[in-house]
Amino acid sequence: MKSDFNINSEMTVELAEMIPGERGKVDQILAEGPVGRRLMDLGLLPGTPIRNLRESPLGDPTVYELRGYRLCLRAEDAARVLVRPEIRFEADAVSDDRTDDGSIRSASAREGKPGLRSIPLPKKANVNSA
Amino acid sequence: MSAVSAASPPGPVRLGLIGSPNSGKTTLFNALTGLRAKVGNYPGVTVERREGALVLEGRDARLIDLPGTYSLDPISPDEAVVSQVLAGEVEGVAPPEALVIVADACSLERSLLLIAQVVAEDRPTCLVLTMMDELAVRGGSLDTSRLQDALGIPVVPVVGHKGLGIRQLRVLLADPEAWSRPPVLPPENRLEQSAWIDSVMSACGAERPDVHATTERIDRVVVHPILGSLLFLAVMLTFFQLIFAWATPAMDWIDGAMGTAADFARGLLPAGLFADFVADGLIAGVGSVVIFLPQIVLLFSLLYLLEDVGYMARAAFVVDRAMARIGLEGRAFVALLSSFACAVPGIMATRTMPSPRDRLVTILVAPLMTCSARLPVYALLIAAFVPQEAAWGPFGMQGLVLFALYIVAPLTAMAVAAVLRRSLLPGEGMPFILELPSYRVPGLRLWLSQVWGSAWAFLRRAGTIILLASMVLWMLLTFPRTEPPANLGPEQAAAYSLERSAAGRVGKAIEPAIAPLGFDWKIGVGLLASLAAREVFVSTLAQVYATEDPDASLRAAIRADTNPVTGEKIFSPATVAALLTFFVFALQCTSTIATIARETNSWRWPTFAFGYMLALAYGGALLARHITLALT
Repeated sequence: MKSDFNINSEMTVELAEMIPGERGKVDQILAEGPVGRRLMDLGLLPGTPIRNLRESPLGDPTVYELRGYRLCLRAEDAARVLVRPEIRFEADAVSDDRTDDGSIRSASAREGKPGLRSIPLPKKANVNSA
Repeated sequence: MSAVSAASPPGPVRLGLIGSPNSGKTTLFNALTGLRAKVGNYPGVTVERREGALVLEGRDARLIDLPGTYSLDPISPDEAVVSQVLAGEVEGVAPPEALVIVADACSLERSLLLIAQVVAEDRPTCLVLTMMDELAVRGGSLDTSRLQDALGIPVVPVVGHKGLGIRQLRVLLADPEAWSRPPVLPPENRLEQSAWIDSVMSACGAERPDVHATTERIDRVVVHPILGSLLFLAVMLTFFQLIFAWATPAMDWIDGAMGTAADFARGLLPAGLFADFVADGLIAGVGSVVIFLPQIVLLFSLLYLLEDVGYMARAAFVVDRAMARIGLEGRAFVALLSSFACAVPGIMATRTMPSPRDRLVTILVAPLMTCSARLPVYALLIAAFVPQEAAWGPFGMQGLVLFALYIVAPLTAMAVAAVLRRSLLPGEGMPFILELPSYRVPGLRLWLSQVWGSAWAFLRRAGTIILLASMVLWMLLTFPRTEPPANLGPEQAAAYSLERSAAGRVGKAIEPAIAPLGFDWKIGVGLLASLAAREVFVSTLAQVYATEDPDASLRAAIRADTNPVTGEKIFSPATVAALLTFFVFALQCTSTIATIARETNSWRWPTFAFGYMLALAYGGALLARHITLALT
């Protein structure tokens, strides 16, 4: 399936705040120096489509899909990448959860029950209802 | 393209193989060179150096397998090896005349960053695309001839494990002088490179592949919160069982065969020093090397099988958070677990860890894991001195002591790892990077060559040191040779000679140093001999005490032994506690020392490991002695 992004958010979140199944595009690398260079070496360049595939059973690290491969990053490293999340969700091979109300899943979702991946978001003002 | 251009310079053409980890570089290297690779180390770093000789269309060539890297822009000394080799800065390694980039066709978009950097080196370069078959399965596509035009360098698709495209590749590699060169070099600035990548991708009509559907289906189970954890535990239990129990029959067989060979040699040779040397020095020394092979072969068979299938990355993914607590990463887990059976294969298993510092910390704490060679020592001392009474509910005192000995060491290892991380070997501050490759059916040839490679590396590199060390120990225990008085029985004669040997004298010389722990010279000789392998402590004590049977009569002998001056028991509860604690911590194992030396390519780290473990052992034993004295 070709990526079918529908980015309508102007807001950015940390990559670590994306939840399983969520898609977005890399906006900016916050780290400088060798760390920032290495993240870019891994293909995390502005504009790169990225998707959170799933979390490890212990909650960290998380595996992302980008540029045709699967990359695991720990939350501390994923916090150094800003992404522009896509609001519209599709059911696909990875995630069968969806939201109808355009709510964004936040990092706080991962502290909750495993089944409850979608909660209306409160923590950061990154909801765009446009 | 002509097979051999008329202008070929004399001597083999040197080709450098460059690619990111998981690009299929190793498979391609093996497909091109067979098993004829020379393996060594680059000076000063732990990075393995592999070079293979091959004949391409009648022309001699050398293929240099450069360490896997995401970038030519190094962030650590180990990564710098690639750019140093390219610049000709590594002593003894001539820079390659031409470069072969290996990239996974599915993640070409990611690899184009590295490709841009390599092409910018401006020397003959070609690109080998692996896993074109997987790209098709995942609904992606790319036009290799348009990619060739866009990059300006030759592009060859191969399926390495099936050998497809290898013949065409060999023809191409034979003549790097004829390779097309790009009219304009790619940009060097990262953001310009990003735009360059986009233009290359659209120029070759690349369709980005979807996620591998089969891999997604398997991953739903394999890294599922509950099923994934259960599978992880099952796999790790299998690892443990494999080297702890299933290797035992083969090890017993080797042990027996070496005994038979030693007896056979004694039968052939006239009795005397030379027969003793052949039987007890040479054959026993060879045996002490070969005895590790069952564990190493079994461990690496499973490890590489799971690695090639794609599971080991998932295992690291599952356990990473727990390992992060002690400053390590998921890939350290198998190495530490294996070290419970034996630190030698455990230390070798760290080869799968990409971060040199993580790898070093893992290597340095692996010998603290309670390996199986400690068990005979624990068994002797516990059976002789710990009362059999029930201590706590259904648990006996003996069992509880053994459990405590087993559990103290790994807890200490965690603490040591955390301390090393914070002090001597701080993290590079670099992101933890782990790729989850798509699951694939492993290639038999690659798997066999990996297992063979690790067994051979052990025999050739650590084995020689172990053999040498065990012969030196034999000499220490034998020379200078004192003829025992004729009226002694064979056991007493052996004890008499041992006491007057170099080892016996060293045991007496170090007595003042070990006296604070309650150890006398006999224990000193045992500690010295146990450097060959911890369990040798038991047989050496049997020899010192001139006992025939190392079980029952040795237990009685050490229970009865008293200090000739004070008349107190040598093996008092305090001494036994100190001795057990000493064996928990001390690096009494030449094989482990040799393996650390070979894997870190230096004598600094084995010295450090021996030193810190000796300090822990001595301090711990002293503490254990005084606590026991206070309690009894």
